[in-house]
Amino acid sequence: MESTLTYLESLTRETKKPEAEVLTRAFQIGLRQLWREHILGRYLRHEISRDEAIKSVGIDWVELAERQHEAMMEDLAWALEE
Amino acid sequence: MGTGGISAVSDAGPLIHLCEIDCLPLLRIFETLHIPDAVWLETVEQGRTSQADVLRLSNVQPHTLLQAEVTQFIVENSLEELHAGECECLYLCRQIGVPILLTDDLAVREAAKRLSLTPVGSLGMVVRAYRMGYISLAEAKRRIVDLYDLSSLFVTRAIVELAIEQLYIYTNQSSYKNKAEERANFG
Repeated sequence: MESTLTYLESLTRETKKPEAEVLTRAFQIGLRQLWREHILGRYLRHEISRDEAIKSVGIDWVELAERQHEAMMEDLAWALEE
Repeated sequence: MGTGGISAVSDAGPLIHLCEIDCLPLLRIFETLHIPDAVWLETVEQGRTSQADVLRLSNVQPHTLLQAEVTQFIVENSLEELHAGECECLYLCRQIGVPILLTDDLAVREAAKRLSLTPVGSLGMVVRAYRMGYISLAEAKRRIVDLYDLSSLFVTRAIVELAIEQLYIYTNQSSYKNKAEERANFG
């Protein structure tokens, strides 16, 4: 996998945008992703309702998290079966 | 590694993702790992998985399939949305009677279940290797985190955290059960 510095160098070079602008966008997008993961985590732990999760991050992310959660539980059931 | 006699057919995802986190040897938990040509093409031939590492597993069985039969299988089971490697995997499972399909693709998991197969993802293989005693709990945890942090597997952080929580719950319950059995044996 590429390193963070390589990503930054490639993005500034290929998009011809200033490094500060790329870093600002990275910060915004990263924060949004962290927020989304926080909300999905709270939803999957039943700390907030499905409706609240959908309002916060949208139906697509909630449905994807549900499908990934189901897959993870199936994997664990298979892996830990006696 | 002892295998417990389990065989599986592998899609490209687990080969790529386990390779990315240096866990390809965990695939030795299977007695035989069946790989159809289309998957070999997507992984080894395209340099996404090291050929030497795959061959070093020593349990890999490659398969060349009749394309006319695969095409007919795709039509009969409405699998047109899936990629060539995924379709070949599903067909191969049916053809050789192997019920376990290794895949990290959610759509393929659904198709596998419709065909009465058991889909298993990279996460499941790491946990299985732990349960079989080939890696420690700490390493299993690290490898699961690596799947999120280092591999190209698309999974949300919450899923990784929940999986690790479940792994610890299982370990604590097993430990408690073993201690209870020891106490019972000693009267």
